[in-house]
Order: sequence, then C-alpha cells, then structure tokens
Amino acid sequence: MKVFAIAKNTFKEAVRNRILYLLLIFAILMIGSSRILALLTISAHERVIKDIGLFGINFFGVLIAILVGIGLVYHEIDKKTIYTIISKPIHRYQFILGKYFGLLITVYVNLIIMTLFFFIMVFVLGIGFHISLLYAIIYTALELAIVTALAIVFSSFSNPTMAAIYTLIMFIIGRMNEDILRFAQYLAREADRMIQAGQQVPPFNKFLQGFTNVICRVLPNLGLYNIRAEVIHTPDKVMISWEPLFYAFTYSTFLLLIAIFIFQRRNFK
Amino acid sequence: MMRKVLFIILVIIFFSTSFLLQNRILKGVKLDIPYIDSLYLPKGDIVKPLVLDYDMFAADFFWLRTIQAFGGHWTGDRVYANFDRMFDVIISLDPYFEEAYLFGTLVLGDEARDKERTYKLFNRGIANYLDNRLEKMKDALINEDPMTALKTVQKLIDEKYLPEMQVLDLPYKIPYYAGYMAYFNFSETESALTYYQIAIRCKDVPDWVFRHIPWLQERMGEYIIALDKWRRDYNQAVEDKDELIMSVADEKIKLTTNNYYLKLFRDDIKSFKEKYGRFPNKLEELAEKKYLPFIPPEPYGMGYLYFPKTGVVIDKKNAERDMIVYLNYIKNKINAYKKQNNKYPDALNQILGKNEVIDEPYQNEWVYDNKTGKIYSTTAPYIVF
Repeated sequence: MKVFAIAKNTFKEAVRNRILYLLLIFAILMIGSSRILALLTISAHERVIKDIGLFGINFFGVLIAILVGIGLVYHEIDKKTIYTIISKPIHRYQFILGKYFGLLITVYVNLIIMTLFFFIMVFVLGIGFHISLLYAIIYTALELAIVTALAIVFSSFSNPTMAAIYTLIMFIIGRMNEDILRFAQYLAREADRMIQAGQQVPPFNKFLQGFTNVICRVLPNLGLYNIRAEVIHTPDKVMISWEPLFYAFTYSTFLLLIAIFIFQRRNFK
Repeated sequence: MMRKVLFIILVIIFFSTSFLLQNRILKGVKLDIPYIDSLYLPKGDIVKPLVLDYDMFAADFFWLRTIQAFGGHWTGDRVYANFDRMFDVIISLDPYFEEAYLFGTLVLGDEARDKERTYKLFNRGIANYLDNRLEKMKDALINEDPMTALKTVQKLIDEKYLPEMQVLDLPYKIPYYAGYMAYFNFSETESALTYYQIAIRCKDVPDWVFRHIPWLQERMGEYIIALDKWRRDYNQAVEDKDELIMSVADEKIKLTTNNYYLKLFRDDIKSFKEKYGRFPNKLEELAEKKYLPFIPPEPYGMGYLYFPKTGVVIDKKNAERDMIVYLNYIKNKINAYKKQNNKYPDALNQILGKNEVIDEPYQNEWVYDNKTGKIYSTTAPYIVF
C-alpha cells in the first residue's frame, strides 16, 4: 500500500516534468515522419514506416526512462523532502520500490501513447497489422523495465548528470552484450588455434577470455529484446519466449536490490 | 511597459538583421545542379556495433541516403565509385534487406556496369539467406572471388549438393535478377545458368522461372538437355490441362529443335567443305555422304532454304520474317527518295546514309528494279516489296 502511494506520487511528479512532454512530442513527430520518409524510398515503404515507428517507440522510451528516472531520488534529497518521507513509518526499500514502479508506470503510459499513435498510423496507411508488431513493443516494455531499474540504481547514489552518464553507459554496454560474447568466442577460437599449432596460449588471453565471459553474463543483455528484424522479415515466426520475460524480471529485481542496498546505507543527517 | 516594447523592438531588430544577412549569404551561393552526394563509410562490420542494436533503423537511414546519393549521381556524373560500400553497410546492418540487393545490383550492374561488384553483392545476398546445412556453398559465395564462387556453386549443383526441391528460404528474386543481369548485361550465359539454378530451388519461385533454364541451355548449345526439359514441361502441362503452358512449351520445342537442326547443318556443311573443297549442291547430299542419317524435317513444316553458292542454310519461317523486316526498311527509304526526287533511285546505295550498309542477311542478294522501285531478295524471291 505504501509502495503504491509512493508510486502514485512519483507518477504525478513525473507527469509534471516538461522533458517528458518534449520527448513524447519528438517521438510522435518521428513516428509521424515515417510516412514522409517512406516517400523517399524505392519500394520497401511498409518496412520504412514500421522500422521508424518501432525505433521511435524504443529510442524515446529509453530516453524517457533515463532522463526522467535519473533525478527521481536525487531531487528528493536535494529538496530535502526525503526527510519528511523517511521520518514516517516507511521502509527505505518501500521508497525505492515506489519510485521504481512510479517511474515504470510513467514510462509505460508514454509507451502506450506512442504505440497507439503508431498503430493508428499503421491502420490509416493501410499497412497490414501483424501481431508481431505488438510483440516487439512488449519486448521494448521489458527492456525499459531493466533500463528504469538501472536509472533508479544510479539515481540512488549520484547526481542527475552522473546518473545519466552511468545509465547511458550501461545501456550501451547492454546493447553491445552480444559483441562482448563474440569477442570471448573469438579469443576461445584463437586459443584453440594456438593449441593445435603447438603454441602456448598467453596467460593474458586466458584471463581476457574468462573476464569477457563473466562480463557478458553479469552486465545486462538488452540485445535480447531486439526482435525488430524478425518482425519485419519473418513476422509469422515471431513468438514471445519465456526467457526474456523472466530475465527482465530477475535482472530488474537484482538491480532494485542493489538500489535498496545502497539507499539503506545512505546517511541523511 | 517600456521594457516590453524595448524587448519586442530588440527581437524584431535581431531577427530582421539575421534574415537580411542570410538573404545576402544565399544570394552569393551557387549550388551545383544536380546535387552530387556520396557517403564515405567504414566497412559494414564496423558500423554494425556502433548503431547499438538500432540496426533496422540505421539500415533504413543509410538506404534512404543511398537512394538520394544515387539520384544525385544518376542525374549528374553517373559515376558510382563507392556505392558498393554503401550497400555493404546496409546489408551488414540488415542481411535480409531484399530491396537493397535488388537496387544495389541495379546500380552496380545496370548503371556502373561493374560485373565483379554486382556479382559480389548478389553472392552475398544469396549466402546471407542460406542456412548452415549448405555451409560449403555459403563459404564459397562469401569468401571466394565472385567468378570463382559461381564456378564452385555450379560444381556443387552438378554434384547434387543442392537439393532438387524448392527448399531454400531465399527470395527467388535475388538469384533470378542475378541471372538476368549476368545474361543481359554481361552476356555470361554460364553465370546466368548458375544463378537460375539457384532461383528454381527457392520456396517462392514462380513456375515461369523454371523455363529460363532450358532457354539458357539452348543458348549454350545444350539443345538435347533443353529439349528434354521443354518436353517435361509440355507433358506436365498436358497433365495439368494448362493450355497456355502447352502452347508455350510446344513453341519452345519447335524453336529449340529448329536451332538444333540448323546447327547440325552448319557444322556438317563446314566439314563437307573442308573435305571436298566445295559446298554441297543440295542438303540431301549431306545424307548421301553420310554426314547425317537423314535430312530432318523443318519443325514448322515450311522447309529449309539452302544456297549452294554460299553454303548458307536457313528455315523458311525465320527467313520470311527477316525478309519482311529488311524489305520494309529499304522500301520506306526508296519511297522517301521518290517523294523527294520524283523518281526511283538508280541503285540502292543512293538511298543509304554515310557508312550505312544493308547486307542481305543470308549472304544472298537484293534484286532491285529501278524502273518500278520493286525489291526482293534471292533468299525468298516470292516476297516482293
């Protein structure tokens, strides 16, 4: 109940943020502009409209999660409103959870608005609607749950500028997770080649192999939620798998636990 | 109040100054028309990780920019130097961007006339759609140079490495356009045949693509294989009661048979001349001297025309068609001369332009009557214009 009350207040506070509207307007303009951009292409009109629509929803969803999320906890401390909250019988974990769910609701409301606009465009332009488009947006929603949790973690111990930088870096790493794995596999192949050639594998190679293998498992894998290519090329084969769903839940929970851990140790005296 | 007025005045002053300044700057600017634009990009493999999984959007972005760049060059210098890199980036970002392959090869093949870069793009397109069960073929298409890759693929097809069935998850248009480009733009029948053989194994291939194979085989001199395939098509059409395909296959059988017989005649007449130092007096002499077991009947039922002086043999149907075209052209020129000079030309060379020669297509002669303006050929003297 207390979590809900904080979430509700966070949502109210977030919707007053002008950045939110600015981003939403940009997102809608971008999705709308896909019709004009489609005029510039040679065939592939439908594809351009769908691609730009899905990109706009994802990109601006991420921007909203980061730019609105980074200041949520910091502003409470900066404006000293945190004292009125923690002096009440509210656990700090409830505060973090409330902030997270409040931000997530804000992000999802925006996601729904962008999606509705996109679907209206799809219908008006007579592009065949396929359920896979909805799947792509569900996957975006799952990705945003992780990005929102990241923003909350960094917001719990740093100022908005630093939190924005950290979250952005984690987002970029999350999107490049597959490349880290590719690098680890390349190192493994190189090591195999050396062994077959009777050479000794340098210790640094072994260390780097282990390190990259661990890193790509520890850091968020946001590439998991990119099914946009499949939605465009093989929509009938797109299905929602339980793994990304469960991963979003477990990884967000893990991040929230870290945020709670940090926040509980903060001294507000 | 004064402050507000002052503020508005300042806004107006600064805006109008910058507007006038911009107007002055733009007057001095002379943009080249058309606007020639190119993208200088790193390799696709480098661009891919940099777009942070927004690969579809990035592919679209580069696609639109490439179309724009093409438009500029097409209406300008028509030089397409780094377009292969642009398409490399697009298909690295989205390996299944079918339109990019088709348009890319149109730019590189039709416009730039660059065979190697065209085949390379087609080969990459085909390879991207192949699954790992066809690793050998995939490997050849990606790693070997385009021409060698095609030979390797043809070898794999001959070795039945590729399934005979339509099982490839590859849009048929990619290998089909490749075949089209190879035959019509680069006059490479063998490469075209290899591409068409891939096309007929695609899941979405329409029936008519199959007919390109015997058509090409005939052009490669493989008449018997081509005939066999046309016969199979005909039989299938009879079974399906498809009258259109029946008539197409029937026509193709006649055409292929005719071309095959004409080739036999030409080869045997050549051998005859080498042995006897003269051309046969009549076609039947080829059978008499055992060059042929018998003189085959002309498939259209119109017979052959043979000219012992030149050793040329043609079928009447094609000869008549050609004669009509040629005679029409010459007659128009004769009429134009008559209208201008009020008399028929004394000889045919009077109606021809500088460096223009109208040879009789079958090494025979035009017979022209300058009194009546009538003309015919000794190939088909019964067609008089």
